[in-house]
Amino acid sequence: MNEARFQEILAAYGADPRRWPKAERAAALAYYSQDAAAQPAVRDAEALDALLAGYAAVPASSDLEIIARISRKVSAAAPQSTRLGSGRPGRLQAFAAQGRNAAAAAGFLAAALTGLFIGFGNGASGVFTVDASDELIVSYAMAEG
Amino acid sequence: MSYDGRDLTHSDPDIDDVRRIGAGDASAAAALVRRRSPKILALSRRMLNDAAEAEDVTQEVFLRVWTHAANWRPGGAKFETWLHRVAVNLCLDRLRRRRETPAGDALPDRPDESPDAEQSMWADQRAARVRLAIDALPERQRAAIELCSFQEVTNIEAAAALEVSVDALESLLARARRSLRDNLARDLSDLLGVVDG
Repeated sequence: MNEARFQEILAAYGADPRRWPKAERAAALAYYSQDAAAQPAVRDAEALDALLAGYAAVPASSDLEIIARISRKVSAAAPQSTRLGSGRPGRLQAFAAQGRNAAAAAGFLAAALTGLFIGFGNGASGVFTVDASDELIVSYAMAEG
Repeated sequence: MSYDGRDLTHSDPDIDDVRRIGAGDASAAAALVRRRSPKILALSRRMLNDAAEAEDVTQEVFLRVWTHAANWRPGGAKFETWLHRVAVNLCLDRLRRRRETPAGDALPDRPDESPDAEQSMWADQRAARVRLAIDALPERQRAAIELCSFQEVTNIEAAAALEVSVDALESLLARARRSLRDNLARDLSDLLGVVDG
């Protein structure tokens, strides 16, 4: 560790040693403790770190709804061939659109019960309303990317 | 959260769920979404500055897991690194399509510094200036700052997510931080003034 490398670390990672490269962290800390001339650069880096920390978004309560929505769509997009025949009564698997007639898929969904009972691995379960429009088909089509 | 640099770790906390997802387990997919999507959503929101697009990107990241989980081979980078890579690339694609112009000229004015100014309003306006300064960064510098400053990944994980060397990552970060210092000079001066008493 030398002055040039210490300044490079500050310039790239800031003043928080937790963000410094692990292999160099101890040496950089030792260097800083011995070189008072490094303090102004560390102080500048700390100030920028503080600004960035103040900006970091705090998860909003609406995020829980968004995550739940994404979770439902992702779960519903499971490849059908590996989910059929789970043996659990009342489970309705998402209907994959790839290789299948989309109109038939939409018709099947429309004719199915509007309440959908989905079991989770931890034993919890819930009731979700299936949107029998194109939502599931579009979601699965997106998974093909 | 680990800063120990062992991103090529053999102890990947997601590997069990990834294996189950590869076998078609929807509950494992739901568990992965619950565990990893908050940070991916936050990454996307900060990079795109658009809540609807951020949700779209996050959803696309986890939908792609279905097509990749079965082929995932443990022992290399962590699965979370792959999630970051996909999210960053999707965001960069959208930013390139959008072709945003730098917003450096549009930084909001400093708020009234009268003693009775609301502290929270000051903090909100400062955060808004930081956001604009980050939005003004070139896309890959923005991605590097997002990964290292907000996602709390190691430098090796961030480099892997961006598909660059660690040296290249440090170059991106240094340039980004230099630009941010230039654009936020007055806010930094305030902070340093407070620190120095």
